Amino acid sequence: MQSVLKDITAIPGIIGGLISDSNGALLAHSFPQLFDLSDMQAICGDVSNCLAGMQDATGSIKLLDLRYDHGRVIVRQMPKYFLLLLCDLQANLPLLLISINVSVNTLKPIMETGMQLIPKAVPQQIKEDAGSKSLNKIVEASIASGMI
Amino acid sequence: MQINEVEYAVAAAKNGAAVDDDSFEGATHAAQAGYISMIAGKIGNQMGVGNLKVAAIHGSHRHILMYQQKNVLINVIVSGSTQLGSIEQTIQKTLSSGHSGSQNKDF
Repeated sequence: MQSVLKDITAIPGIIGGLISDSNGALLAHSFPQLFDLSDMQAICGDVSNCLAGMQDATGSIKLLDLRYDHGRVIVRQMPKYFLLLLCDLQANLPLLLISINVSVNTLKPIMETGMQLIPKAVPQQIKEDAGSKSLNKIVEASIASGMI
Repeated sequence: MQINEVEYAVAAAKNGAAVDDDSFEGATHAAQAGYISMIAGKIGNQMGVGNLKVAAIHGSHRHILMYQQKNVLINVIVSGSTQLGSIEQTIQKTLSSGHSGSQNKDF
């Protein structure tokens, strides 16, 4: 994940990028150190809310392009995660969109493996309680020897 | 001026209330503009990139182009069957040329 972000951040005009799951949990980022981790987590939550909030109005959101006075934020939404990039105003969007498609393709197996790593609740076999068995034996032996 | 790909256009106050449009549809789209402005504003603050100018949302059924000016938001709903990039320039030209009228396609 980190190498995918590193590759995409190498494109001229890209300041940093992050990957978040669809619930807004930050998975990886390549932002410079001046960006606070808690801010990035808050951004993931805000973007996740925005994607969910606007779903009825647009159908599923494929791309979110926010243009500001001093930069541009591009969000590409995938079924289980989203990729966010912060660019400067000179960034070449068509070139960036091609690179995003490549990154999404590279991330596909990683994200699928990642999803498999999530622990699942598996019903466990009921084990015989060895402790209670040996206690029964002691009690039986005590009765037989006349101690009880 | 009418742009065929535009399904609806509405002006809204910063709080998401429709301006000069009493319809239910107008109120809905104005509220969407208010919501986008609020969330995008928070993201912009956290990233230190200044004020939001334009939000372009590429959806599967519909696209949204939301322009934020000093005291007003303009929300333009574009049909999902068209490429947003191709129509954006036409919308921007229309807006900057000062055509007015908030409702349904007519700028």
